[in-house]
Amino acid sequence: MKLLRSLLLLLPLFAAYDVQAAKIAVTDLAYAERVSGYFHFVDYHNKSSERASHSERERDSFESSSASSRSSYSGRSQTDYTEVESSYSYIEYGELRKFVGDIKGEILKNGGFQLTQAKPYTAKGSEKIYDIISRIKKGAYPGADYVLFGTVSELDFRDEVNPIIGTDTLSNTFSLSLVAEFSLINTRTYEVKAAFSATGEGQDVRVVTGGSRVVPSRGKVVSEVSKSLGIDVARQINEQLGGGESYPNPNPANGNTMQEGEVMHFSQ
Amino acid sequence: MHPFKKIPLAIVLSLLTACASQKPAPRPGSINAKVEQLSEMSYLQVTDLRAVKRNHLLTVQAEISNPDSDNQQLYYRFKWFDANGFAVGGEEAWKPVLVYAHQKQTVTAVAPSPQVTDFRMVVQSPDNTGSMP
Repeated sequence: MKLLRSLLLLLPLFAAYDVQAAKIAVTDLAYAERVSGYFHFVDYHNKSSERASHSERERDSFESSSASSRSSYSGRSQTDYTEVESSYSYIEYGELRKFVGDIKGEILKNGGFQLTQAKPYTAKGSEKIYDIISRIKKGAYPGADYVLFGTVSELDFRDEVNPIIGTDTLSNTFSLSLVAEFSLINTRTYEVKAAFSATGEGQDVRVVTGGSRVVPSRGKVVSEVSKSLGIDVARQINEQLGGGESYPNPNPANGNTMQEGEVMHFSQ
Repeated sequence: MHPFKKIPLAIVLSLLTACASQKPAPRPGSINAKVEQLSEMSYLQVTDLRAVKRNHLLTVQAEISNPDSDNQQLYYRFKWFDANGFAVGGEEAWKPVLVYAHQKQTVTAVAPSPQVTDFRMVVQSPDNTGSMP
């Protein structure tokens, strides 16, 4: 009985050790993008030559006089003209080597996993980039128990200028939103332990008065996207694996924080 | 008058003064919590106040009512604060508004920065003797 009790007491420790020992590798975000292009090629050659000659002869004596003149002209011109136009389209596959640093950081902060480094996908882009089982088998994630495989669903840059009502100023909003799908895959059984889509958003808002020009900070926007994506990923992993414990909100809304479009009406 | 007779009177007077100078704190979420009056306006009243976040900028609209039969002059300006309560931007200039007799006037202001999360509307009128709106 005593042995059973001590075993029961030790059970959570083993479980904790098991969770601690789980190693996770985070892939770079795979993407597929249709690349379209158009070309218009014009080749024009013109070659021309011309030749002209002129001679005059004049003879004058006491008895007679004679004069003769002779001129000749020849010309030649050759033109070659080639015009080709066409459009092309292909799908480009690759990995986005950005935005995963903060995902790793948030997973480490959570403390549930250890991280291992994944080998980057450097082969010529093809649809094989999505064959995660083949990549696991090829040993792209050494030492990892789980792979967090992410693919880009949408990457959307927006640059908007809106007039501010009641003023002569404009609000210039430069924003980026990134939506990516993630699957947490067991490298031995290929079981999907968690799957979700996460969003990262960042924006740089400037107030512009007439005639002034602003240059948005792309670095700030990218940094915000990366951070918010990392937090969203860690929150959803925590939700799906962490037994429903609430993930701490990094930006707790205080009483004064208003959401876009929310109207606050003050009473008498 | 006997000098001791003056003491209760002085105490009563001082208590009355203290009561008069200490107004109750405005209720959070009320207009009075957002409107600062430089002394108290007799005739003009802020009868409606609302705020919305548009294009990431806080936009405030206030309605000023003049129930009096004479036109009233109002001067107003806004103070803007970030989430930590620090003032954002410099001091605004006072803006004059003439509120006609028995009419309402709407004033609108937009925060100078997306960091702004809170505001105070500071108002004053030349005829400042009355009670709180």
